[in-house]
Amino acid sequence: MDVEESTINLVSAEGDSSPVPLSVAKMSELVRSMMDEEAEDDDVKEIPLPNVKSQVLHKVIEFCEHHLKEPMTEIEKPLKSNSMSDVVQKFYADFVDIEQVLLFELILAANYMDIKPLLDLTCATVASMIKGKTPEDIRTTFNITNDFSPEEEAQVREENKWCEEA
Amino acid sequence: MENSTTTQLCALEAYLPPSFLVNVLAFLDVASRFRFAASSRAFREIVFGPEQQERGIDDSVKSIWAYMDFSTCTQRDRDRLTDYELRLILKRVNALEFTKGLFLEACVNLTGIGLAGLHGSNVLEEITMVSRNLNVSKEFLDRIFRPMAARKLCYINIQSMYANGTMNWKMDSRRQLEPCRRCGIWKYDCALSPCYKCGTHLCHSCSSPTTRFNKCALCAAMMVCLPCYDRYHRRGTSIVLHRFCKPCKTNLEAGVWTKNRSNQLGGG
Repeated sequence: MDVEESTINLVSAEGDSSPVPLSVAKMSELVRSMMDEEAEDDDVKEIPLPNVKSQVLHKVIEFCEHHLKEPMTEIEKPLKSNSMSDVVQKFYADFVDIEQVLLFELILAANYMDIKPLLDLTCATVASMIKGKTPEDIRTTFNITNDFSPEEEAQVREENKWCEEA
Repeated sequence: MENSTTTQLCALEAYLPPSFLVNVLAFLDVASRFRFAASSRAFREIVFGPEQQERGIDDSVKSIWAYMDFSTCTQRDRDRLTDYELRLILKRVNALEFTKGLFLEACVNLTGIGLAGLHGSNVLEEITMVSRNLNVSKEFLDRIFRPMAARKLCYINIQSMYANGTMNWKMDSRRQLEPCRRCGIWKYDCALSPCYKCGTHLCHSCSSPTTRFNKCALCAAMMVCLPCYDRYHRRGTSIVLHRFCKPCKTNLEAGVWTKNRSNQLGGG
């Protein structure tokens, strides 16, 4: 007879409740420690995550569920390629092929929930968007204004001669 | 109406506090970090100090400069790196305070003069440099690195690749040392005499009366350390037993040594 794994509800900032198996929820060190703290209380069935929006929480759960089935390859530092598909398995490369704002919110959620592989994956993805690009390309990618004064600009150019574009 | 002169925050900066960007920087090679720092004033402050502390940025920013590996940069970047630029880089990242390891393999245009930017470092532990154009004297390298090796453990390997061979200047102060048996830390010039059985040392900060007696108090013959004594000879031995080698102890017990002599030496 199969023994069904017990579940716990993760509650997002909007109050939406997502039931997840304990093994999945415990990938988050935050959830794990909250459960340990309240271990004596058998009725703990909900973990509030007021800093995580529903959309982000669904992505986090998707990541954790897959990570249990196929653990992510450890990401080498520094990145050898600016394509995430060269760095991690296809699922994870596709997982972070999302718009910037969601990616940044995933970083914040991974940090808040203390899920190291997700934090590594999302930070490495931002790094891959920077790697090999010129300062001008980086400004375009992240919508940054060049706020250097002419003197600072000259100093930066002097220091970056060896790595600026040909 | 919005003030048009206000600097627009980019999504990256607006969403991610500087301490998060440090996690991102950890995945970038040295050249990419410099290019990122060249994109805006705020990012420059994140990548380099010292303004970072005023802005409450985590000290972990410094950790990204603890090891600088130029071998992970592109060949084009490595080819263009000169000694002048190396000195600027070392100064910009405050290498004297933060950089423990510097790896300059295949930076073919370095002569080695730029390494002078590391003179006086208290944290440097390792340098590897391979260049075709090495053009510094042994005296120059001695002047920079010998004082460091005297203070701290260093591994320095500077090679010049010639068409018909290789010239090496190597210094490895770790070879003269043993790690402390208890804390495992490699320390310079503070190791005690080794136990002849296990060959390991104990640093002064970890030493205790039980392990200071690895020389006979009378004839200074080397003795085994207490753990080895316990293992190979007899368990639960006393410190007193360990203060004298076997012949001296036999002599003591036989009364060969006078009471005065024994007292002078602190014997019981």
